[in-house]
Amino acid sequence: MIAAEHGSVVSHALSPSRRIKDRAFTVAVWTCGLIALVPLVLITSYVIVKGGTALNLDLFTREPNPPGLPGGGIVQSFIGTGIIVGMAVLFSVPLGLLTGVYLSEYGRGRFAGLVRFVAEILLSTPSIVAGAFIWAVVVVAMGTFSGFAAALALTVLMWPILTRATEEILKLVPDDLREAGLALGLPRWRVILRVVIPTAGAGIFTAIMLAVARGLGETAPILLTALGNEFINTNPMTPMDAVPLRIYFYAGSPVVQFHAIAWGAAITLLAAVLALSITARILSHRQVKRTR
Amino acid sequence: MTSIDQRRDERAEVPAGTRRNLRLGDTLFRGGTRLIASGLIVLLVLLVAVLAVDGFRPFQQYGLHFLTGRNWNPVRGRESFGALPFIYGTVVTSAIGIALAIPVSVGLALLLNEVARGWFSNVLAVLVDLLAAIPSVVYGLWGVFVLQPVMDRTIEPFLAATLGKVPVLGALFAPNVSGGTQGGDLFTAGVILGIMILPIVTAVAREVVMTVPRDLREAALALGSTRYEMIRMAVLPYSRSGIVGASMLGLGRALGETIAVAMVVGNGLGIHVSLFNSGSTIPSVIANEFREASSAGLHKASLLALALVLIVIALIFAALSRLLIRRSAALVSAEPAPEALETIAFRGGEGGLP
Amino acid sequence: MRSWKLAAVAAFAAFTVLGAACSSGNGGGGSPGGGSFSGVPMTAAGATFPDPVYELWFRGFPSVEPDAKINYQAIGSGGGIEQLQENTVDFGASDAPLQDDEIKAFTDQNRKILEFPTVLGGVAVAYNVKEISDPLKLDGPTVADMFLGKVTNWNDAAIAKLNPGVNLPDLPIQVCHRADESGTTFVFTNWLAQESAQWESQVGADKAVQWPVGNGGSGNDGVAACTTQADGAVGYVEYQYAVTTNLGVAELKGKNSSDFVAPSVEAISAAAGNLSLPIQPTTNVLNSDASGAYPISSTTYLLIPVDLTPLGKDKAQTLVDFLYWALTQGQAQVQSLNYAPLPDSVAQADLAQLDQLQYNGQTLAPSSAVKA
Repeated sequence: MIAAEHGSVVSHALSPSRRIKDRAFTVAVWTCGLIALVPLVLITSYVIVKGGTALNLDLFTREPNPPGLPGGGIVQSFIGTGIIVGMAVLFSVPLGLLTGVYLSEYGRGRFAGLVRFVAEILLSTPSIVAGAFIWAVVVVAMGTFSGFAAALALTVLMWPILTRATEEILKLVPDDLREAGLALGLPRWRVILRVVIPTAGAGIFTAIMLAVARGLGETAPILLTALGNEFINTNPMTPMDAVPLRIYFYAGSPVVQFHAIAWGAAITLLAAVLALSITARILSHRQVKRTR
Repeated sequence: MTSIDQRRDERAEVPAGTRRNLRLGDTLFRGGTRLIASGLIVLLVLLVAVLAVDGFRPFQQYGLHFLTGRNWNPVRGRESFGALPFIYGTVVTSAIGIALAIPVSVGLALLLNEVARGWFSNVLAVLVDLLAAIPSVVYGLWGVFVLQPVMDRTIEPFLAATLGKVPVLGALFAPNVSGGTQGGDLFTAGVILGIMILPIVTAVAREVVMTVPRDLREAALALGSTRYEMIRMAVLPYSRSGIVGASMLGLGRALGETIAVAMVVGNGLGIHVSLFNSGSTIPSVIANEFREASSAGLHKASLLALALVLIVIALIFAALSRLLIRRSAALVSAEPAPEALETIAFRGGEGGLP
Repeated sequence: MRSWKLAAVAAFAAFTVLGAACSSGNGGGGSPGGGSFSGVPMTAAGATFPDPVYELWFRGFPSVEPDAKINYQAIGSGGGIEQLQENTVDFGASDAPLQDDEIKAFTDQNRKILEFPTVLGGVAVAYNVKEISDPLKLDGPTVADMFLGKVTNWNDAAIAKLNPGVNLPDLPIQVCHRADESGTTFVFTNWLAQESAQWESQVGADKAVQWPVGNGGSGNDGVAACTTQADGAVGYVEYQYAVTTNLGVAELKGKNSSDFVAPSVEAISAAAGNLSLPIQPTTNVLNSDASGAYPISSTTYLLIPVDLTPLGKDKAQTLVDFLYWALTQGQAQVQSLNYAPLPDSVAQADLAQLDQLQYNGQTLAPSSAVKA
């Protein structure tokens, strides 16, 4: 506002070189905006076009055909992703939530500071490192690749995410609510469980959605721990398939029918991840408004 | 949090028997969550310890030559593990990525915060953030079938014909050792990395720019500066360390990115000057060779040692970038802005930094 | 508020029960008493060279034994040997015969591995040069020079000499090779070492080598993909991969060949005469001097532990059944995929090897389901 008024008042007093620099700057930043949009548009449009044409019911209901025989699908990958990510959520949500609760409600002092720093390091760990670690511990101990090991590798990645997110969300809950609960005679732990967490409920749900979105797209940790499978397999203690893993394999294959399946799987994966991200964003805006 | 503890005095009014129960419940709950929180520390310690123990032998055998040797040969009888080609590839691809991403990100941050207004800025910001959510394997799929052919047939020959002729620097853009520009190479991998780290660098750069107080901006404008001059004088100097911190974040993500890079980097083992040669990065070689690496010899141990190198680098960058972002906030006496949830969740992708 | 906690606990419990039910569900394989043996799921990993045939076999075998779903992951010969060594798979596959130190590594674990040849294929020199329509003629030294980076353009004199009258384009040669440990690389580099002294001394022959030039792909499919994606590319892949990707396939003249030979079922079969069991570290059918033989032919092996006891009765029986089926009825299916079936003498010797497999000290006979 001030800038706008100011600009119009002063403009006729500007030297040409200053005005040119200002214009050039504006053009430059708008160009940056354009450059940033181009890959987004290109990637999503290619995935939509190539993936859309490859979408059919077989993709979700049939197992792969041998190369040379057209058709087939990757139903085992969707089932595998469901089981692996489902297990990862089961493991990481309680762990992440309670760690976040600790940091938010009791988290002063050096120990809590250490936990936060550790969470930041784990957040920055390349996911292939998580896969290598779980391989060295779980796959070797179990003597087999498994969906369970893949779920554990995803847990290593999702636990710190949920921790940091939970802490941020719980911090937004005003202290008045906590004090009110205590004033009513509730013990601290009851205040947390029955007042603070439910108030932050939508925010926590949002954090879980984002962690799931992240887990859905991970390939490297699953590559090292689950091996893959072309048959439907619901036993998590044996090798399993997953959607991003199957896309990775098929993208490197010369078999053209597999390319189409890869694009079809990619549009499904992208749609799921974007839907979760966008919904999470909408929910969190509403949540922020609610606690202000 | 602090005000709650002041309330502890209030408990004096509660009857004695109840107080014991309250204390027990509270102690259990606090102890329980603290235990789980310590589990996170145990996890990190375990991770580093396992990698260190399993990845120790190559360092024992080769010493630092493990990191400086150029010869990576896993075949028994000819075993030699020198990781320099992968360190080189990682550094080069990340450097290209960050070189492409920083100018665009800073420009974008300024566009979103200073130039564009209202709903348009919000929509654009959301779109850029969505780039972060795209899974790495989808980037890779697009890279293999869309970006790489365009690079191979159009962009790289063009660069070879133009920039390639420039003295000294042109060697970077010369045709590869086969005489052409075909196939996956370090340059294509660098470009994809640039696209992938754009959202995270932009998000943090925006937060950094936002913390510069309005007073500074308005003072500059009151003195008669144009918007460009205002940004140059009042905003950028104070954001400088923060922007460097944002770049470190992006760099950290680039260093750890695995799948998209593995799909377009060409998987070569050599070190060449031209960026149009195939190469490998530390994460890409781990992904490619892990399932076949022999535990009997040094191969698997070498890959685990490389994983250890990756997480040590992550640790260093974690501390550095945190420091820089805080310093930038301190310069304008502000608290660093709280992180958006999406930034937390997708900081990693296939590797990332806080 | 309490209800979501209850729901979470219930879900967790349900999941645990489900998981337990599933793991026990996969254990029972169908016992005798009424129906015939129906097999159990197994895991295997290894070579990409025979993968098209193995895909056909492993996906087709459940029509004979409905529960015998063998999950085969083609991660390369090196990977197959490694996973077998680490006991994370039930059996492996490789087109490089086990070498001395690999055999020793198994011996150190008190295990002996029996190699069963399953099918014959050929390593094709495939190229992506649209300007050339008829198959190129190449010889060993020239191919070696291409992969050494000495011959860098398709219009090089060495190539022109072998292909008089062919219009060769001015196009750089982009080499595609394997990025992983590969039996196909083992076979190909052994042939190159036989054909070129410089290759032998500078690079050598093994499952993975220090390629002087080129891009790496994972598996035969990775090399095929690399070759189709780059103009002017040349790569080495099992013949079927070249056929299905419409790549050009070179006609090769090995040092024992009288003429240039294209890969085909007949030419590959012709090379198999010298194949004999048991498989040795030096077993190969390269540069056969039989008439019309394709110079870079190769067989591929399933790596089966002699002692099947650790697998359990059901898996052991499934494995024996599958091997019997693959070596008898399965052979008829391979020609449609441009692989050559084993010569009769070799197939018979292979079946005889089945008697060496032991479960609890006893030989397992193939069940009635596969003897039909």
